[in-house]
Amino acid sequence: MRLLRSPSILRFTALGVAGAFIGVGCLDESMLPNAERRAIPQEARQQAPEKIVNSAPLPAGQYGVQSVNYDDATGSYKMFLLDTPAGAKPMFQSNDVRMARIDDESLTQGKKSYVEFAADGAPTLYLTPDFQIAYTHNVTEEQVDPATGQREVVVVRQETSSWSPFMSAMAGAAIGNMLFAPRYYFPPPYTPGMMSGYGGSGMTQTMASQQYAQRFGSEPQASRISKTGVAPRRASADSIRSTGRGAGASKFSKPSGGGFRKPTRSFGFGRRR
Amino acid sequence: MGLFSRKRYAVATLMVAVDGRLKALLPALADATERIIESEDMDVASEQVARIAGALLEYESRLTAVASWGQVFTREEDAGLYGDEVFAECAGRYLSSGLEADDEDDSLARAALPPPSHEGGSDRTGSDRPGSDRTGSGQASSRALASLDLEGTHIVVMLTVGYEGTVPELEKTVSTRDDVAAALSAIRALHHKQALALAHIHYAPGHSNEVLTDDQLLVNYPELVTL
Repeated sequence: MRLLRSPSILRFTALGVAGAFIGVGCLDESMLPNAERRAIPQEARQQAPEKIVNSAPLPAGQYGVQSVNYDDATGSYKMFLLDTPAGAKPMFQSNDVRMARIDDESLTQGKKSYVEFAADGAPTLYLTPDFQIAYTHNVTEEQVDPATGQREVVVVRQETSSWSPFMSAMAGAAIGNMLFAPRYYFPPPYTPGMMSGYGGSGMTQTMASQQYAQRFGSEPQASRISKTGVAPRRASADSIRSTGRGAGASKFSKPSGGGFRKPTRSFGFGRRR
Repeated sequence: MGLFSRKRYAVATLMVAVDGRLKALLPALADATERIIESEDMDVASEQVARIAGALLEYESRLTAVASWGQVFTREEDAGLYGDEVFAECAGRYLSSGLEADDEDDSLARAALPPPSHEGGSDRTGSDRPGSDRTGSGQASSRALASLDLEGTHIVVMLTVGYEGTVPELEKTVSTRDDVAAALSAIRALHHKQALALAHIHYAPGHSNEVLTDDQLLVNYPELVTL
């Protein structure tokens, strides 16, 4: 029996994973596809996410990863870990995470996605090629704070999607063992629906950001915002999301180590975004 | 042998929007969620989901919109994984209070019981938790709540259930009041048959002194179809 609850202190969290499931059952005319989010009027704008406080690293070693969320305003990865030692929280968050694809030999041995903490605390995500990172896309604007008169970056809309960095090698990117050595990655420019591959990679965040800029003409959003800083978030009536709570339990069995759910003879019913 | 004994596992989510002026609902939702968290028991989760389904049936006339979706699996583990993903996805539609312990969250919920419509006050009957101290904090939050305009606000409840076999009322496009009533009844029936293998509740807003606005409803629950 597994207990689930929000807030996100236990292992299952408030992450959007939209885009991974598609209902194909009876389509009602009254349920029209709704991929476009409404823009939020100025009055109801949400402040951009607060300054990211990276979690304290876990003891050196490997920990299975249940799910990962990437936020493109802060460039931070929020991951839910399995088998954390007693006293350590299963949620780990950092904007300083390298990634690598699990090599083929380990894949054939059934290795699942995991994070490895080095002795100095540096985390590296090792992912299977089909691992989907839940992607939170922040549409931002520069606005002037009426109270202080300062220009600040503000999130005006959020969308969730998914990103598989190692799903398909980008043209010209996979040279030799490059994909298997840990590097810093930036996702490709945001598109709704599943994104695969990456927009920039490098041995340092700066190099990854520069490679992205070479390809797409400007630095990724997370790099730009981290230089100027973001306004603090208030969970108030101005937020795009209201507050809420949830809890639940399940006695379905689960495969150990988590990982990607293989689509079986399943079909959706009703209509989902 | 395999063909005829093929098992079938379904995980279905029913999402309803309720008129935000229905004040009795949020305390009931808070209580149900609290019981699940405290007990960490599947039977309790099943019972609370059925209880909330029953409450929604009772307030059926106050339901304003509905949506439902789900998936069917032949492997139990896949249903289990999908159930976890659905939980995370539903939770992503609201801001969790992000507190370490339950205590702070719940004392706020208990203190913020909605006041009677004509006056704020500490004497209240009905939907209270026994033993909760409401004198001081009750007065203060009553004053705040008395000024809270619930007109045009909403409450959203998401119930996710998992079971083996087939339940047509939960596996069809739910778009009319009859559909919703049938789906809620089907959830209660599953509980009474002790057939629920997965039971989740989500609701928003998280406290009686907060609201869910039209804009927030449209953005975070776009699947809803007006009843």
